[in-house]
Amino acid sequence: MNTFQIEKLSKVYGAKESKVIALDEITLDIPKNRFIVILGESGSGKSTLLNMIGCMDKPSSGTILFEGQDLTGLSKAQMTEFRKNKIGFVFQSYNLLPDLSALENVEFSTELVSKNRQDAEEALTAVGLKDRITHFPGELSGGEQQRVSIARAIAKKPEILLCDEPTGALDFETGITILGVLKDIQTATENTVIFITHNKEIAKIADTVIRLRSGKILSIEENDSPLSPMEVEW
Amino acid sequence: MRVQTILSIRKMKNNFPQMLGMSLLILIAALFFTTLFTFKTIYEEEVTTLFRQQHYAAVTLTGNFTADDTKKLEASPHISTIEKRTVQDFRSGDKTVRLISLSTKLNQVILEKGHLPKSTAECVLISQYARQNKIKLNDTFTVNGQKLNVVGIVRSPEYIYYSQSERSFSADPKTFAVAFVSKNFFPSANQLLLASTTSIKEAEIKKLLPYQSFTAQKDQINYQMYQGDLDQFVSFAYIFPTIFWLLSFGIIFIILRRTLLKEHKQIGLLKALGTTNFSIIGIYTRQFVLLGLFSSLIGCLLSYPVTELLFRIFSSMIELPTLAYHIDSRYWVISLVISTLGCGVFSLCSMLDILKEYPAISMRQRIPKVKRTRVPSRFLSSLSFNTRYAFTASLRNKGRFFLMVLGMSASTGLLLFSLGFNNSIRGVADHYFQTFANYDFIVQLPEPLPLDQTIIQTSSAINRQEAALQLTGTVHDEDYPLIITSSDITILNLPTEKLDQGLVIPEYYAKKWHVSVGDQVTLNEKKATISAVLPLSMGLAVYTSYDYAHTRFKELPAVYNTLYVTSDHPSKVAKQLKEKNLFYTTAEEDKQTFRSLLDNMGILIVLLVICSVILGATVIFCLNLMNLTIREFEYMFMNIMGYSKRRILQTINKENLLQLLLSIPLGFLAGNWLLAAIKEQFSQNSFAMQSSIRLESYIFTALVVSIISSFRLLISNRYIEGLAIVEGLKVQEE
Repeated sequence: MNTFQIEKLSKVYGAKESKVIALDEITLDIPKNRFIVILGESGSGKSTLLNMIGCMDKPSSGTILFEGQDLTGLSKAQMTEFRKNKIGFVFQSYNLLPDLSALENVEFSTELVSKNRQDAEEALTAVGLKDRITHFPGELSGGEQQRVSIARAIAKKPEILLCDEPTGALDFETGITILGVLKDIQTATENTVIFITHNKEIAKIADTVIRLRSGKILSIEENDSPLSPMEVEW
Repeated sequence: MRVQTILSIRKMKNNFPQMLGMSLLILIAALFFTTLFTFKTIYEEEVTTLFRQQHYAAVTLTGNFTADDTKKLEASPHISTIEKRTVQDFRSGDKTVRLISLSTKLNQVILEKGHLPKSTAECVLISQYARQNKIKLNDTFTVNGQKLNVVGIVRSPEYIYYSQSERSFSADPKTFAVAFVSKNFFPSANQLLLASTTSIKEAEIKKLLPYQSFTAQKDQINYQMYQGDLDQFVSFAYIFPTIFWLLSFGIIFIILRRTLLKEHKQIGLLKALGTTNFSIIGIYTRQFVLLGLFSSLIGCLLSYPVTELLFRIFSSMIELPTLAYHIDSRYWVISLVISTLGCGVFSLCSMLDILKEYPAISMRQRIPKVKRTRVPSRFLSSLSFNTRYAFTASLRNKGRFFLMVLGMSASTGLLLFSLGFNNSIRGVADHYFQTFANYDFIVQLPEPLPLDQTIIQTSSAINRQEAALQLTGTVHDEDYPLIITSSDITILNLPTEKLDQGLVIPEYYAKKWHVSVGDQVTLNEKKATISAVLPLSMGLAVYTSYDYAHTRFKELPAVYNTLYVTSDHPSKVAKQLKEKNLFYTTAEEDKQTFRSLLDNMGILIVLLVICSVILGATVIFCLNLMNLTIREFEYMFMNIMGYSKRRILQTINKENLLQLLLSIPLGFLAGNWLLAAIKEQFSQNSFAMQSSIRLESYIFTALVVSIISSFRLLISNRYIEGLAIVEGLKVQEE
């Protein structure tokens, strides 16, 4: 069963001389309930693909079907609804709201889907930040901020978790911890996690690895025996 | 509390100093608007009620009237009430006394103390004069050698404004007295007061009886000054708040635009999380909407003490002790709606671009737009790095740069306007006495005399005396003073060669009637040619010669009722005039009108100056703080590269100088424009305001704006000295 069915998806930025083809007619099926890694160098189009899947941007052409529903035909308001109800995002630069505490950052997200404070507290407990809930982003380390970011993404119990290089700004130790948290969540919830990275080692923990280069699919590999996050090293 | 609300409140803190500044501007705008309109409404209501309750006459006829005349008028179906009375002016020492026989049906007085006169030996005094001269009940008041017992103090609907004549429209209550005597004090009547349920036509009255002048209520100085003040309140109520509101909304637009530019990634994130545009608008605009609402509410609340203060200031100009503040909810609502809606709409406008974006675009790193500069590179390269940086930094932040220039220009403009307003009123009298009127005395005769009959002999005390006939002329259904003189008059600086050719009129009349030299107007139902237009602002009248008047009005007798007298020995002349029992006014008394007007305006001018300074200081403070926080990183980086803080401050100084150079001339233009715009509201048929701003006002304005602007350097210096380079760079990286 596939979550997303992508067909001839293109994204072109600019026009004429400054034209950049970020995605070039990609056709791809993303399976459900799996930990998927999209691997590629900088500029390969992986973040663009994630943005299209997460309804963060409109493609130039092609279609994305989510459980049979065409996402490319959605209005802006429908795209917002989709993001709110179906998707949880984790970003490389955490993107926490600096004016809100850890708990409030998570609550902001749960409030949108009419979940309560308890859901927010549970999510923060799940990522090991029970004792830091009143702290503001400026008072937390990078790893802790990323965990708040993960808590914010999972607290509203999304069907899909989209992670845009969440370990990119972290040191190895913290990166491993974050990977462990995400892997555990995926195992526990059996949700689809799409994780993009340029780090080949991280791809070893994935069930499916999609390689991108210059906006095209290079390969799609199934990993029969994914490693645990504790086993990877870079 | 919802997290979105918490976020909105916390964001408010980030712009707190600027928001405080904006709230001050909105508060002043709302305060001005509510106060002036409330004042105007209360004043209008009170005066209208007073006129109605005291039966203010619709028409006043002047002439010599008998009982038969009253009977003739009674036959008219349009006239409901007729009352005879006598009004006569007397000189008593340096004082002018106006005795009026009491009318009981029309122009009724309001008794404040005592009782109305019961015999010819009693009188009641007008409150303005009694107060100024500390006259109590049972004091003796001497008029023309006759001693009268003061039995009461009254107010009169005819003297809300203490006007003595067209020239002396704001008489000094120390030297001008109005006393009411019993009906039988005078043997005859020289005025008829008329009231009607419909409008009374002059043509109809003319058919019924002869009279000297027909003055409709709207043409009375008292009424014209009241109507003029209403117009002035309205024009002030629009001009000042509009400037304050627009500037505060403009700054809000710039603040929010800047905030959004800084927080575009946050907005992208909010969208990514599924926050709707409506909620995002709520998060960012709520603070400004609340700012508008609460600031204007405080402004409305403050309108109570400020209106009361205005009532106190005006109590020296108008006699209306019943004026009392009461809330007029219409103006509160309008003020609250304008402030709240303005803040909301302007902040919403600043968000439109970012709301249209997809979250992925909003979250992307912004690359500064590089625009080709229109300044010739050869010019730029000839400048030092410091000057070049100041110049390009100014051009780079065009919105803030021009808003700063606009704010400083508005402050300059309002300041110059306030001072210029004062100058203009002063200038009216100066211009009149320095370039037009050379008289020392104006003698008004009780009865017109033939031109060949002299009433006072030219003596060693009198240098020159020139006769004139003062009448009322009607043009386009409105009354204007008509002065007929000899064609060789010298005491009034009139173009004598033009007097025989037609009518010499002031510019104000020419504009009002849409005529110029050579055009014809209908004066008292006869066509007359305009022969000259004068730049007069006081002593406004239609001037012509006896010869020309006879060609138009054949029945006009060769008589005079006014004498212009010049003298090197005024006291001797005054004695001579008193001996002959002639009524006169002096040039000094006419000048006093303007002095008292300026004294009364003093507090208002100070208030306007304070508001102008607040406006300038707030705009400069808010935008400068925004500039400093935005360029903080640049300054820190320049400092790291070895550029001293003193030299960084120099760049701010140069930018400041550039803005001053632009805003001072612009402000001067704006000040002149504002003064010209309100000129009309401050002009009447006897007085036209001419905008004349003195050089010292220009210098003072430029100086004040420069001083306000230099505070910017002090703040900048403090800010730059306090920059923590390492910490600051870290913050920027985050």
